[in-house]
Amino acid sequence: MPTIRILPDNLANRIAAGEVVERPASAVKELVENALDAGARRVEVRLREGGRELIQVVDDGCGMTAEDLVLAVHRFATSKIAEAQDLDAITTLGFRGEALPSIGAVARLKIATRPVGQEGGTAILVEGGEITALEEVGCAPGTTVTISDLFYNTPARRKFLATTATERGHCADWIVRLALAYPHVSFRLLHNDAQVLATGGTGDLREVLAATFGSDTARELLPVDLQIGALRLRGVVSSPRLLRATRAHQFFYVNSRYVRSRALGAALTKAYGMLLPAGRQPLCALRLEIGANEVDPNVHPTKIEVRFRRPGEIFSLTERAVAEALATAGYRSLDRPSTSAEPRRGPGLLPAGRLDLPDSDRRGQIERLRINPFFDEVDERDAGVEVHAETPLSVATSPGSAAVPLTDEVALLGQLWNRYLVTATGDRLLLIDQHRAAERVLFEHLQRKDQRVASQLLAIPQSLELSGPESAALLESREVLERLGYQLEDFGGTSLLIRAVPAAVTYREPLGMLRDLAADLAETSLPGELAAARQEILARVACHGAITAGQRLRQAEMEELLRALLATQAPAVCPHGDPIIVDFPASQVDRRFNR
Amino acid sequence: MLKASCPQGVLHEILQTISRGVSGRSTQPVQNNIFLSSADGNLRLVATDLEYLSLDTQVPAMVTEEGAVTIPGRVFNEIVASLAEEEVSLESESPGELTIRCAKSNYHVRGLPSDDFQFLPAIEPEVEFTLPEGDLRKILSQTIFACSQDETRPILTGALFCAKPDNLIVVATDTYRLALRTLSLPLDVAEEKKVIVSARVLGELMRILEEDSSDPVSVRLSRRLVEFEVRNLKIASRLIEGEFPNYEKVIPQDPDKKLVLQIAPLERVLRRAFIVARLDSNRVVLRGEESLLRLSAQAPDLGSVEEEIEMELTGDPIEIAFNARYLLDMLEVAGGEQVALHLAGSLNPGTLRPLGRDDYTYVVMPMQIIA
Ligand SMILES: Nc1ncnc2c1ncn2[C@@H]1O[C@H](COP(=O)(O)OP(=O)(O)O)[C@@H](O)[C@H]1O
Ligand SMILES: [Mg+2]
Ligand SMILES: [Zn+2]
Repeated sequence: MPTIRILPDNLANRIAAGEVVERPASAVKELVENALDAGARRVEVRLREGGRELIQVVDDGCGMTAEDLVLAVHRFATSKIAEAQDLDAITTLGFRGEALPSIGAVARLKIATRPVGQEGGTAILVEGGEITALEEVGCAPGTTVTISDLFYNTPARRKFLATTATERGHCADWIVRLALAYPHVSFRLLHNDAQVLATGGTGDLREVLAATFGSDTARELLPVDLQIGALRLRGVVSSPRLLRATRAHQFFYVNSRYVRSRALGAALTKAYGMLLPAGRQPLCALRLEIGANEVDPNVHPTKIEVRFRRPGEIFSLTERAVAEALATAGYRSLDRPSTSAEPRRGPGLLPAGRLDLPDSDRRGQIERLRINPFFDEVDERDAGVEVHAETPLSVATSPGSAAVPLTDEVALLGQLWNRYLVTATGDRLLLIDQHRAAERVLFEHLQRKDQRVASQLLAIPQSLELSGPESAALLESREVLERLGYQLEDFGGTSLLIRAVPAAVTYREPLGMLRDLAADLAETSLPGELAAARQEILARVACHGAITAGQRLRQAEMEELLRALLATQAPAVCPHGDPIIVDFPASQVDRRFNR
Repeated sequence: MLKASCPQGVLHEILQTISRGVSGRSTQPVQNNIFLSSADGNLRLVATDLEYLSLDTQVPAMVTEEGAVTIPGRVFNEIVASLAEEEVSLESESPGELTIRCAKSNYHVRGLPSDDFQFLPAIEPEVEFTLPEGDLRKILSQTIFACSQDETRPILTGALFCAKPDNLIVVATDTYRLALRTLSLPLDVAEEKKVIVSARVLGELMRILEEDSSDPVSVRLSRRLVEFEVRNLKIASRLIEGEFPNYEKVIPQDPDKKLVLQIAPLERVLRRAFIVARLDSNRVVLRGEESLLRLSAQAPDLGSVEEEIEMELTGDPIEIAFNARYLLDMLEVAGGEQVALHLAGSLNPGTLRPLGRDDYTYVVMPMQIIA
């Protein structure tokens, strides 16, 4: 067991200082990290009312002597670094020695601890930053830290805490992050005595992910492991069949520390390349193993951000490791040169990006257009532009052409780049954004007050495994969602049970839609006023329920969409105010031809 | 090098079937082709996406030389379809190329060498049984329409096959409704075996199966694969892995109301109501009292419809809303003259069964109006 020292002033000042405890989740994080630093194999966290009333962390780690216990609650008292050089080679999660004292300052803190191999234990009570009791107690080897009445002496901060569900969600999120970094440790989280999460500590990352996100998720995870020189990247990434709307389920670690890193996220996305449809993100749990002196975690008080000494190498390692993992499973982005790892089998998945088919099979269905040489702002993905039209496309609006006259005015010519409908009226060419059009149609449908919403009940209620903030966000919007026809139930933990879905979206993957909505709501908050919040939720439901860009539409679908769009009140702007229709008057087109 | 010939009609018919197995979206170009080989007096044609569908068939042919080649599926199919009804000769003079001759036509098609073509692994059956072609077709037609289209829940995109010593049960559900069909016949299986078969492969199988035939279809199951063999065709697929939901829990135990209805008139009124219901998420409201069932639907912009139909009701009057499409899906394949609709409360599932039969059960969940 290491002994605790008070850091000399100058060293203490070099450590980025900051508020450690902002909300229950930050205390949970600090305490669990301490348990992990103490070598625990089992960590149990108990919360009451989102951590507001009680946070208790029980570990079976090395424990502390009575003497060390007193030191531990002092500011800058740590057993983890002693001298300035140590700062360059931090291998523990904690090192600032400020968590326990900061917690002791804003809550009632009780620690009972017994070092391994010692007969009895010691308990200490800290209130308002002062030690108010110290006594010998009998307890199991290890440490139990109990925090009650968080922020009892700072009512202003207490007031700023979110709902119980949200705070519980944030706490659960930190447990997940740490559990993924320590798959050998068994974690258990209880909220108001109900089990929220439990991992087996088997050392298998997939088992941790299955415990968190459900076994369906774990099935679609591909192993990653690549070492180049002293750098090694290991973990799992999701196959292109398992994607989410946001990066919320991307977990990166440097050694055992959970980090947020734009660079790692960007390298991941780059590796998927065109396997990722627009607006979709893979899941991952990736751990970068790197010499402790290659990173400087001492940047941000919450220690989430890292700085790499050689970011370029890390980017390319990550990109290559992930691309190889995908290729091994038979997924290769078309914009990616083949690597040494050969695909085992083609899983028959259509890459989401452009597919340049050499195959004459499709001729007759696909008319190739040359890119206009005067347009220089062409996305390189669009090289080899395709226009899909069941009938051969003829860009002529005169009657008798292959165009389908839709109403008296608007004729449907075809689909462009799988994202625009090409249409024409008497003297103008109209490009219609298919996603926004569908969004507008659905939005108005959902918004109608005179319309009684129909809800389709499910024979088999479906569980939706979400992250903490996601399930909290949905529960907070529950009233609005129920008015739309969803029926959700808190299933304990962070999963929800869905008993009914809006009848209007039964054919459109209503659960996937709800999952995307959850991610979306968890990331950006809603307007405070209820009516505005309701509009916003409607807009987002419409967004996630609508046809996406990149989806190939059949003729009948295009006609239906166009007809429905033209019947809406504001066909030209989407619920977020973006344009749906862009038009080119004949005169402008003529001018380009120097007519 | 492949050299063989067979009549245009034979080749055309088989290509119609086989070319449906070409995925056209594999990342390996050769898998988008049809594999063609000649040996032992047969032509063999294979198409597979290596995932959910493999079609493998043999036709008798005049084989002059043994060999193999792969050819783009749709082109091959189109060419053969357009040929005269005469003997077609197929000849591959260099790897990856095929010359097709018939009457005065002479096509030269570039494919890919056959060496790279991959097959689904051969099945090592743990369970194998046969059943009459027509029966299998019927069972599939009564169930697989209820499979989910939602790729985010892969398990529900397939149907459960449960083979027991004395019957076969097939179950499909998209969570909105559930179709369950039992076929009593001695299967030569020692113990119960459950697998989930992709609706996609079952759909293809259904196209091939003939309604009135009693030819045997062999069904082979292993841990990961399923294979159906009918006449000269083998259609195989990887199984969907996972646990199918407990369907028994879904079937209501003792609904207290029972409606007996004539299928044909019920279908007609539902179709008429559907014209309006279509604009309101397919919702039709059923109100039953004494011997009359009233169906109604309304759409905000269009108007409303009311229909009446006779029935026999046991139990209290009822009012419940369903997706008309879900009712029609079942009625269209139910067979027989009458159905029994068992109901409890307006938020409880309804159960449809052909009257007097207990081998076909269809559970459909109601719709609720949020005021
Ligand atoms: N659960 C625990 N088991 C054993 N020792 C602990 C535990 N929690 C805290 N300590 C001791 O108390 C010290 C102070 O903890 P803390 O204030 O979190 O600072 P830091 O983790 O940055 O060192 C630690 O360095 C460690 O020696
Ligand atoms: Mg600490
Ligand atoms: Zn949108």
